[in-house]
Amino acid sequence: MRKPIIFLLTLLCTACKVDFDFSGLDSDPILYMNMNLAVSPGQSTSLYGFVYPIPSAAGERDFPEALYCKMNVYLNSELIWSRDDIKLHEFEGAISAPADILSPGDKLKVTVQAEGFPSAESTVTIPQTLPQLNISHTRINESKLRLSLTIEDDPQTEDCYAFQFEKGFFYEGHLQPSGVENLEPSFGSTEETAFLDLGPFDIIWEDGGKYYGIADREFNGQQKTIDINVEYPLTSPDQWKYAYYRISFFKVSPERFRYEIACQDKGNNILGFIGLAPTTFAYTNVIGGTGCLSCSTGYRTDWIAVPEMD
Amino acid sequence: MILRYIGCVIAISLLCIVSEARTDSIGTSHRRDTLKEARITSDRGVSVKTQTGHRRLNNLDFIYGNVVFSSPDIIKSLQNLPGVSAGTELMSGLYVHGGEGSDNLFLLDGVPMYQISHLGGLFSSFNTDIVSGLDFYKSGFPARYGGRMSSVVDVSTRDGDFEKFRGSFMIGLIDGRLQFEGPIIKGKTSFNIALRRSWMDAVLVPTIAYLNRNSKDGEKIGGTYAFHDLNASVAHKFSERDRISLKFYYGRDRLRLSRSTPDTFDYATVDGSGTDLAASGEDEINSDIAWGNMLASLNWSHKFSDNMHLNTIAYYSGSNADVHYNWKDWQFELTEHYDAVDETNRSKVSDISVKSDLDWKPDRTHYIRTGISYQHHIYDPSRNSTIDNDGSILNTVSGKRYDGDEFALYAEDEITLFRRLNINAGLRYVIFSVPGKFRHKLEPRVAINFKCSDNIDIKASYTHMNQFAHLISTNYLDIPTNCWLPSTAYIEPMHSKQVAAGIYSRLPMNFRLNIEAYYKTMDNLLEYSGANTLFPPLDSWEKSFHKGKGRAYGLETEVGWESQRLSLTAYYTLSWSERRFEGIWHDWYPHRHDNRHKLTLMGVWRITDRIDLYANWNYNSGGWMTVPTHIYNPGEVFDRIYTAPNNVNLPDYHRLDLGANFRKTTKRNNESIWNIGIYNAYCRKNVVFVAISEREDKSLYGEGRAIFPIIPSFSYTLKF
Repeated sequence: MRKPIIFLLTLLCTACKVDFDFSGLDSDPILYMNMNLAVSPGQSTSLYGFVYPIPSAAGERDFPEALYCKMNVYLNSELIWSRDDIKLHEFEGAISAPADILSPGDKLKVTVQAEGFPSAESTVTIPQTLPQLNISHTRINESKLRLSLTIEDDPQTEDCYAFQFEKGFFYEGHLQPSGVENLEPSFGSTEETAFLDLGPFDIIWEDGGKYYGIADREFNGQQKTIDINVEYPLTSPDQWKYAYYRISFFKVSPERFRYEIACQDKGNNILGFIGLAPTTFAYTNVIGGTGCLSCSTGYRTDWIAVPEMD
Repeated sequence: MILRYIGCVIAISLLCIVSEARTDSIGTSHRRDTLKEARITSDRGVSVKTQTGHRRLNNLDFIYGNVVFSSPDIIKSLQNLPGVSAGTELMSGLYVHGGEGSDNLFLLDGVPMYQISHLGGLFSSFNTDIVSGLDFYKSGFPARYGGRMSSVVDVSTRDGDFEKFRGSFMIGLIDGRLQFEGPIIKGKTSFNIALRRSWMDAVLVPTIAYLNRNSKDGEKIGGTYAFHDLNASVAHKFSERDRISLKFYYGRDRLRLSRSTPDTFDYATVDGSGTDLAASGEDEINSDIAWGNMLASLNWSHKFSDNMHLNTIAYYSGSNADVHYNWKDWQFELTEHYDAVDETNRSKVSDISVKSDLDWKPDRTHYIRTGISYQHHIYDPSRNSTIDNDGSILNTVSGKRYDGDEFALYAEDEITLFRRLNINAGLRYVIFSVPGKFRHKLEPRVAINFKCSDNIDIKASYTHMNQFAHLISTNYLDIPTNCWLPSTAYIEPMHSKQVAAGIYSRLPMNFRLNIEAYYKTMDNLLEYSGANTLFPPLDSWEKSFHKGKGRAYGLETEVGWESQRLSLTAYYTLSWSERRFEGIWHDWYPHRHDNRHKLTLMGVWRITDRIDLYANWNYNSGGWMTVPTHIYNPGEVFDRIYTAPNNVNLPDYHRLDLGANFRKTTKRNNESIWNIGIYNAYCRKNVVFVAISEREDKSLYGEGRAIFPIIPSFSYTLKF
């Protein structure tokens, strides 16, 4: 698809050039905040991510080695955490708390201030309680597993969903699985996976897990089953006896979904970059800066044995 | 009242009271050598007077409103009007009161038309040889119109002459036209036929052959483009009360582009063995794009009495676009093989409809219009893609047909109260259903006109509009890769609400001054990502979109002055147009065609009966685009940060167009017209798009690209 676009652009680019100066636009650096508040119901809550100084495209792009910022965290307008000695570039997973301090619908606000930067702030609403996830499975061939996931969506919220699929082998005598890896859904047609665009945020987080997001509108307030084929490669035919999988299931604030879509769009949007296609790649919910503050609440199933072939 | 014929004002003032509230032909006269026919039309109908945001344009407006390629153009004439943004230069963009191009209802003799342009928008689909005029509504929509939410362009064509044969022939810089009309049965049945064809292909083929012959690296390019359209009509008068007409339109564009480049690889150079081994292949890219419309209608008009009139029309309207492309790319790095792609995208939309309108004037204070219509829509987009990786074939087929049924019922009454107050109150009820979803909407429409004096009117209007058809597009180019699809269970109909008010005055010394303000909101707008594709996502179009809303508001001013030989008009618009898509940005941001100021100056000088000059100067504040403002560079990765959508204002747009018509009567008593036009007379480099580039230090800069320089043109027309 790139070739026709490039061909078209080559034709267009034979046109006259006109200087276009936008260097006066946003010549100050800004703060890039990318954080997620992860809530494990009944267990813990942690805010992880980073804050990074971003130089202007037109202005000075070198920063001093040591840049510090002040970060405040508010829960429903009440300051619950504050530090003023956070070193930019190095902040990571600093805030942990018991899960019960938060309730669905609460608003969490994070503000970051650093000298020489506009103040950045972002607010996120804690997602609603997770719906029941019903899982059924079949083996469709030697190396492929079909998972059916049924969810009843809450029509009142725009919270999105995300899944992570993992495999592991419980060999005899072992209590812990070995060879734990992400399971990859197979795409290409509706026979493979009901949602061809199961992404858009099939992203790998810091923990190495690969998450697939599904928009709220897929469910649209209804109970719905999605079918997903996952590749389950084996080294030998009898390895099925030891094969297990598990699913991590999350409700995610829509801001994360939007932000990851925007990041994907930014990867390859030739016409959008020259103003000839919609600008779907500028999303941020950080006011005064850029990036994303989101919240996810979720849990991980126990290990489930992969069934025999029928 | 002013009597005019093409290019000249005869300046006959008539004391004439036109009591009919309609546009009609009420008489003809002859004057040998100079005037073959005078067609007197009236647009002083009460409904016209009541609506805000209404304009009626006629053939003169088309001739003087546009000079590009010396070819009159309806859409480009509309682009001059206040409240209308033209969008990308020379395209057929019509962004009315903050709406998108697809939010306009184009009717050709009451039949909706989907593809409204040829050649990427350079020409509109309407052949002015056969068009008698149009009604353009941008606010204050009467209840009889529905289906789009931003504007209505209701184009009417002429029936053929019932008395004698006549026609015209025109040849221009890149197109030619032929029109012929006359009686089949004198006084009873007539025909009118108009044909238009571009002849750029006749120039392109030898030019490209010459370029290929002189190509040094073996690269060969190919390209040809042509469009044609045909309007044909037959009208028959059964009696003074009954009339039937059959109308047909067919328009088609075809563009073919290709490029082939020899690709060779010398293995000897790589392994150093000295063995004379080389591989070669031919990289190719070909595209073949065809698009167009076909419309056919049968119209029966019946007069029950002088006060009651029934019009019934059955029609078919079809539009399709086929985009086929393939490419082959040889690879020699690791193994010798090729990658190839062959893809065909089809977009079809068809309407089959019947509608009936009844006009009734029970007394002097009421003018009632009511009607009923049924439309069956078929939306049928499809994509067939084959990826060939050195013989390993992967074929994917996508797309789905949607059948939609739309039923509409309306009633409106033009009420005259106390001689000074006119109210047009109407209601439109629409039912739209597709498999799995049934919707119905009520659309109130109210317009009020208060006549302060004989020369000053104050008007106001409030309207609701719904749109059940969506143009699914991933880019802003006027190319046939987009497809029309209906509102479904997931996709809600677009909806607009608009309030408008204005003062309209005829001042002393032949001046006129109109000022109008509007405020409009739009809901359920759709945006699709253009990442990595020119084509909409057919499989996931109901899921992978951004939904948002828009608002637009502004003030429009028209100042005009007219004498027998000179006519001057100035249109000024101060406007705002914004969008809010939660998935794109957390706040309102400017629409790409949020042109804050727009000024159009138009002048026509009829020097003599044989020569007239005209000039148009267009100015508008630049549109908006998104540029990166910051660079995130952890390690070696440089990521451009866009801190807001549409964050930079493009340079202002302005250009001057000049034109002249020279008329002559030939020996055979025909009229010949030479037209000379200069588009963009002072060669202003107006930016169409901006490319962002990187300096060595990774900082960014922009380079605007202007495409259209000064374009002189001429045409010759012979009327017989």
